[in-house]
Amino acid sequence: MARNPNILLVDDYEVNLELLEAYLDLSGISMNIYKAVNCAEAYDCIQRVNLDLILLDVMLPDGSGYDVCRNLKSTQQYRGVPVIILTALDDKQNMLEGLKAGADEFLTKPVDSHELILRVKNLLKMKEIANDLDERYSQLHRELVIATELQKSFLPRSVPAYDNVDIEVLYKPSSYIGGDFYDFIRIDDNHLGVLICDVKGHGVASAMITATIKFQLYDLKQYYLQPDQLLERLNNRLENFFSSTGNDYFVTAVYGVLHLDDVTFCYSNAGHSYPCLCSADGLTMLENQQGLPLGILSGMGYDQQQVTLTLGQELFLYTDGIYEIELRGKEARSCSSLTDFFEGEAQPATIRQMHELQQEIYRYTATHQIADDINYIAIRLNERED
Amino acid sequence: MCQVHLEKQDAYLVATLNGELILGCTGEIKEQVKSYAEANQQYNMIIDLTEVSFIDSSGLGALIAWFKMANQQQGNLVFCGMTDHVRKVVGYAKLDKIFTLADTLDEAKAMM
Repeated sequence: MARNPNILLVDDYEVNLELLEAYLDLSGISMNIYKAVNCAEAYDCIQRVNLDLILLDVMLPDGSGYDVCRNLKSTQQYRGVPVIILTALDDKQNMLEGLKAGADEFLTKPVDSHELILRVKNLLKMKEIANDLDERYSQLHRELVIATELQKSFLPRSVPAYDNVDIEVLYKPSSYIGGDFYDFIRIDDNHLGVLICDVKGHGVASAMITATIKFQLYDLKQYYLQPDQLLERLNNRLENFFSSTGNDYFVTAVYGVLHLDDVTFCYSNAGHSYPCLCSADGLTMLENQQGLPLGILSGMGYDQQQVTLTLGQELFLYTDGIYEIELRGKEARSCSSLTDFFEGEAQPATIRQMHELQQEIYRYTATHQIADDINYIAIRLNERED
Repeated sequence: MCQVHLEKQDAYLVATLNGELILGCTGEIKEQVKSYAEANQQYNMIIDLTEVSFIDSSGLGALIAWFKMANQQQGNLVFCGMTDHVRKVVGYAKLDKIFTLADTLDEAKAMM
């Protein structure tokens, strides 16, 4: 331990406290000793001091040592502090009670000094290992938080707004860093580039890959109006990047250009979930001509399609998180496509059902932790003009 | 959980997978198969997926890693016995365009 261990002794008889302290002195371990004569003082010390061990008597004037132990062990912050329960009797019932309360060790009074020292040393050793792990975990946690912030900074700061087209975005990363990413590129007054992608893999590496995509996208300016060309080049560059870093990652993506004058979306798909065209009549998955995910094999070509939106239709781009979510009693990951998701539903899938689903996802992700990132972009004609 | 059984034949290796190929166990399996191929310097491989009931994107990542490895070493890699679910997921990602697939292990062996 980098610092001297902090040990709290709890007993209502001062004499017992003196005795325990004297025994611990014999151990030769440098330590800071704290003393409490009742539960209230014990709780006070637990909150004030970063403790490494507690020796706890059971019968205290203002309560039971078992309760102190139970409270401690049910609190995230303190549950790692080892507790030795001191019982007056070699009583099985008391021992069971102590075990239930989560005690780590027992000592029967009168306490044997050798036994006390051995048990204290063992538990301090364990606590030291736990402290070390905690420290490493906190460091990793801090790095993940930084990477998460970094990744957030790559996302568009605002959703583009137009007179004739509404765009709605939901982006909910799972705990820490996920692999979903989207971007809007305002190419000119009439053209908006839209990218949605999913880096397969999690953790810090996903954030780095997201950064690479963002950078490469910026560098591929001359292909912004040609989705097939853009994905082809992005694929080659990512493949090169992954092979030089020895990574087995891959990225699924849809990139498209929204032509604002006639509201046509011209797009290419690299192994990503099919975009969905929603109307009052049903959902149409835009399944035709999909290419390989990015980053696997270089030299792959991509096809390009287009779809023109009419009033009442919605173009829905999304990542797989939306149909793998635990919604409507479905198990997480029980669906392998949006079609799968709607297949078991009572209502035939239409734009109305899609909007309900969007609302549900919105509500669910506002209050729940999710296992995979959720990201969707909905593009629809603005009805205000009518 | 997922397990892998590795076996060496005269002219190829067979990796038989069992369970759910998902985040959490994929990393280790991926490495096991890779190092077995490297240790034997044999990149003609059959990956038998008959007993794989579920696959997620990290599982797909493993299939891709083996594909890439075999590809780089001019090896012949055949996936066989994909269940409907696995076949569907592989199909959604369009990997069936580049993977060599066989229905059964015997069929895969005949392709070696």
